[in-house]
Order: sequence, then structure tokens, then C-alpha cells
Amino acid sequence: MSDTVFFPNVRFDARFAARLDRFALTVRAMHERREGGGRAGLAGSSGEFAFHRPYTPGDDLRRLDWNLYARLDQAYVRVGRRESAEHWLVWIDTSASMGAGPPGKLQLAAEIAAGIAAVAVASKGEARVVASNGREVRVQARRELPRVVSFLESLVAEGVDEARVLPAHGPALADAARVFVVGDLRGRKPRDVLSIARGRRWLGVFQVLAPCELDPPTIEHVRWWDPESSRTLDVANDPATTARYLARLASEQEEWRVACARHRAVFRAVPSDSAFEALLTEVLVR
Amino acid sequence: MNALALVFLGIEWTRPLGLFALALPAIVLWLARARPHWRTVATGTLALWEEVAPPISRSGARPRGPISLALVLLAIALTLGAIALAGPRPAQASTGLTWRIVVDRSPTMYRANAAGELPIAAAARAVERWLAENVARADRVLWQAPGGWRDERSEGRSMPSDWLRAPRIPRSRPRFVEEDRAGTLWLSRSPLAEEPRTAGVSAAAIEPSHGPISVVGTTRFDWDGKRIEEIAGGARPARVVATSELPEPIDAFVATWTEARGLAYEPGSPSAVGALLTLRRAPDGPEHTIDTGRDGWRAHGVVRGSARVSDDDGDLETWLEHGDVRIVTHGPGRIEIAWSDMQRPSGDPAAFAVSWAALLDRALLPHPSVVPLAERMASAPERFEPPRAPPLPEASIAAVDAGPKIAAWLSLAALVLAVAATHANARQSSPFAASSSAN
Repeated sequence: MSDTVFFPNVRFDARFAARLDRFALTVRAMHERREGGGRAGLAGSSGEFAFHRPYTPGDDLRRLDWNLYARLDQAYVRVGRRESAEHWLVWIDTSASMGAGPPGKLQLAAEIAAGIAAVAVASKGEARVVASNGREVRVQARRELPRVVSFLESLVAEGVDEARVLPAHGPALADAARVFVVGDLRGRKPRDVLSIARGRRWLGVFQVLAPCELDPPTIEHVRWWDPESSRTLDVANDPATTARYLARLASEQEEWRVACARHRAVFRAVPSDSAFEALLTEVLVR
Repeated sequence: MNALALVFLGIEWTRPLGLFALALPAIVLWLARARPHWRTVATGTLALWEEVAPPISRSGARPRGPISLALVLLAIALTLGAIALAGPRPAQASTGLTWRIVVDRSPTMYRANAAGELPIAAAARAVERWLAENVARADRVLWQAPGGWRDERSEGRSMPSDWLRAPRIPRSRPRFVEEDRAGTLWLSRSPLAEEPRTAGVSAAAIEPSHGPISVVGTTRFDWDGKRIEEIAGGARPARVVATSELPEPIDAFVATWTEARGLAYEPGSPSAVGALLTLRRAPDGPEHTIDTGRDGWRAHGVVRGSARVSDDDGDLETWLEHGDVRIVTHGPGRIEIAWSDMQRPSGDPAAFAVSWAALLDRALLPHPSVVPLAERMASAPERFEPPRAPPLPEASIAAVDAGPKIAAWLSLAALVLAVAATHANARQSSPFAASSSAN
């Protein structure tokens, strides 16, 4: 007798769009509260200058560049880097191992990607979602979010995680102020990813694991199946074996955490049954 | 009523074959354990498992299927279902329920047909077959053979085998109309003199048979199928035997009576075998001098002991008594007399003769080969009509009523458990907390 659990698809229910909106507004409101109003950005230091733009009624007078006004006799406000139209890149792993669940890891990864895109466009930025299979979508306005949702729903966890896919998006990376790597990070080493975190670019690494990977089931016999290699392993799930597995997994995650910290990147490991809002709120509103 | 019903563990199982279904839960559990049960789980961390866990094939562990909660619930549901299927009810449902078979042991039941089979055997076989198929094991079956000087009784699923032999003293046909009640089955032969309203009938076929219809002295009268033929010297005179010395007035009258009937009287004969009537003295006992009589005659005499009221052939009827002393008792083929000495009766001599002739005629057995003409001519097919069930005692009625309720509750419990098993199985199939985004 054999029961296989595999969840390769992404499905957003009818309330997901409203959920995205609510989340984006919440994140923005939290920023505004934290930074005392104005159109604060979502990353980078508040004093980080990007460019000037002409003053428009309603702009915060504290951000008026008086020196420039004195020289040019024209009102300009300083626009911080975080306030500028940042380009965010979300790289999402769609390899077959992302079908582990339930819920499938790809499901949460897609929700995270959608959430990031929603926050980006809500901040007048641009988001680019790149799947590990090479497909991508780009959004610049809130009205384009449904396109992202459709794109994400079309993703299927299949194939092999090719470590070279991410560097292949070199041009996309070039102007990305923020890069989010979302996947289970299986078969990938920290150095494969952390090379992205160069200069002032912000990097977030989100490891999504299935509940059964974080907390193996207590059933007596499990046939672990790797959807990428189709290898199987029959395991008697005794407590000692499970403990060894969890220790090994914790060791790997610690390696990622340390490496990311060294590169000033953010590392988070989340189970696929968690809410994307909690993760992104904690990471984006720091 | 169900012949297959079985009383076990104080419970009556009305459909005991249903108990075979108890094997189902055992089979389900055995299959679940015997067949390897792998829950295949997709994972991206296989490499980690490969590092830390020895595969079962190497570790030697046997991949036995787990006895899950769902499986246990299913097994219990199947067990309850099997019990319900077997139709349990309190054992009192059938206790006290009594079936009566009233058996005709009259001579015609022992006259073999052309195939050489006795009507009583054929009718009994039909009854026994019906009992086997329709009467619960817990029920009682009483066999009764009235119509003689003593009712014979037996209990069991088969008629007593010695009833297949004709009784030495021929019995008359039972008064079936007095036995017309539910739970009673008449065992006789066709045609019946009365039709039952509630009793059942197992009547053997009867066909015309040629042979003697009367014997008078040595003249025999035979029916050959069309007419009656008189055969002079066709029969030996039937014997009337006195095995002990009789008082003179009685002995003299018996001699006169036998002569008039064409019978052979053998006073003082040591053997009564084959005799149509035997007269004998009552066993000795206290001696009384008694003056008594009946039917217009009286006699003075000495009585030793008291005539018996029964013997090996059945009950004896008291014909003459004085106080608590029985002087004359009689039954078919036998008369017992306690008088050791008797004076000549007083009164009208004819009264004594008529009175004693009536007694002798009543006790005289019919000639063994003689069958009344009406019976020789009779022809009727066999018939079998089951009886209505006898009324149940109140406790049994309550127990019978409880049967369907018990089955219904068991079925309901089985259904609930089956649903619970399905639910538990569904939860077990997704042991990793499926969420709304699971696909």
C-alpha cells in the first residue's frame, strides 16, 4: 500500500487579491508610522540620497532642498533611494522538490512573491518575479498585480533546481535594489546565492520547507521520495533517526544563517503552512 | 422461528451464518499488517535522510503496516456489523416455545403401501424435515400418541423409533379435533375425519388395499377391490385366554360368550401370546369379603388384593370397585379380576350376562388382519401443512421484540464507527496538516 503526497501546483483563492491589497497597505502604514509620515521607502537608510524632483503641493516641507532652492530659485525635494522607484527582483525556485507539502512549498513561495510584488508597486517601485525555470513577469503598477498572480498560478513544481539559473539573470540583477531568493535551497550552497549581495544591494533569502521536512511524521514507515531525482529511501521513523535528521537540518540552516549574516543578507526559514504576511512584515518593516 | 438459530453466550443468534462475517475484521487487520504499508512522502531533504537513516532493507526492519486508529475503528465497525448480521437477541426469545406433534398410532398407520413403506414412517419423515428447517434449536418438540389406554409422550427432534413398530395393543385414532391449536401438528394419514383450523397436518398417502375386512369364527370376509368374498375356514378361531383360575360364574360366562362369538376359550393357558383377550387374577394382597355388583346384578365373594390400574401395556380402567378396593379393571386385550372366590350373582341372570358381555366385547382386540372396509377402500394423497407458531411467553415476546432493536443499534454503531474510520483515515492520509492552499 502506498500513498503519495505531492502538491506541485499553485492555487490562489478568490480572497487572495484582497489579502494582497490589505497586506501592502498594512506594510506601508507601518512604515509611515515608524518614520513619522511622508513617503518613506521600504529599504535603505532614510538619509540615502537618490535624486531631486520638483516640489509638488503636499510634499513634506522638511525634505525641501533649501540650498538648491537658493541657487535655482526653484523648489526641489530630496528623494531618498528608498523612495525612488526601486527595482525589486524575486527569484522563485520551481524545481520539483518545491512540490513537497502539504501545503506545497511552491504555494507559499508564490504567495511570498506576490506579497513582495504588491509591496513594491505600492511603494511606486517595480517588481520582477523570475522563476527558476526561466520564465518571468514584471510589474510596475498595482493594476498589473493580477498578471503576477496569473503568472504565479501557472507555475508548477517540476524539473531540477539548476544552480546556474539565478546568475543567468545578470542584467536583471544589475538594477535590482532588492533581491529575494525564495526556495527550499536544496542542492544549493550559501556561496551560490550570496554573491548577489554586492554593494548596496539588499538580499533576502527565504527557505521554505514543508512541515513534514521540519517536523517528520511519526508514522512508522515512510518512503521518502525526491521528486527531482526520483530516488526513494525507506525509513523506519524511530526517534533517534528523526533526531539525527533534525540536527543535520538545523546545522545546514545555521550555516545559511551565519553566511547570510556575514554578507548582511537576511535569512529566514519558514514552514510552507505559515502565512506570507507574517514573514514579509517582519522582514520588510524592520 | 428459524431452525438455524443458535444459542451461544446466552444470546440467540437468529442468523448464525452471519457470525462468519466476524472473520472480516480479522482479515482486514491481517492484511493491513501483512502487506507492506509505505507512506510515500515527497521531500527535498532526501539527501539529509540518506545521511542519517539506514534504509529499512539494510536495517532488517520489516515494513509492517501500522494498526492505525482508522483501522481499529473499521475493525470494530465490521465486528459490530457482523454481530448485527447474525441477528442477536436475548436467548429467552425461544425458550418455553413448545411444538406438539400428535401422532396417530392406529393400525392403519402400520399398513405398508405398495412400496412397502409404513404411513407413519412417511408422515414422520415429513415432520422431522420440517422441524429441522423451521424450528429453533431452543424450542421444545413434544411427540404425543393419544388414542390408547395411556398417552405416550416423547421429546426430541425425531419421533421415537419404537413408534415405527405397531403397538401390541392396537390404538385408536387420536381425537384430533381436541388437538386443534397453534403449535400442534397432526401426524396421521389421509383422509382426515376432521380438518384442522390452526394445527398443521402431516398425513401420509393412503391407497386402496385388498384383504380381510372381518373374521367371524373361522369364516373370513375379504375385499378384493370390487366385492366382498366369504371364505369359510379362512381364519383360525381367535383365542381368549384365562391365565389363572377364574371364579366359576365368570369362567362359565366367558365360555358361553366365546362360543357365541366363535372364539376359542383357553382357561388356565400359560401363554397369552396371540390372544385377543386375556383374563387374569390381580396380584395377591389383603383379603376382603365383599358384596358388590353393577348393572343390576350383585355378587358376594372374597377379594384378594386389588386390581391394578396400569400394566406394561398402559393404563387400566376400573370397571368394578368397592370402597378403595378395585375388583375388576380392564384395558384393550386384558381384564384383571381380584375375586378369588365368588358366589353366583343374585338378581336377573340376564343382567349379569349383558353386563359382562359388554365388558368382554370392549376389551376384545380386533382381529390383527382385519381392516374395516372403509379404510381398505380409502384413497388419498399425502399432504403437509405446517402449523401456526405457538404463542410466545411474555418474556419471549419481549426478547423477540428486542432483536430488531439490538440489530438496529449495532448497525447504527457500526455506521458511526465506519464514518469515524473514514474520517480518521482521511486525516491520516494527510498527516501534515493540509491547508487551504494544498492542491
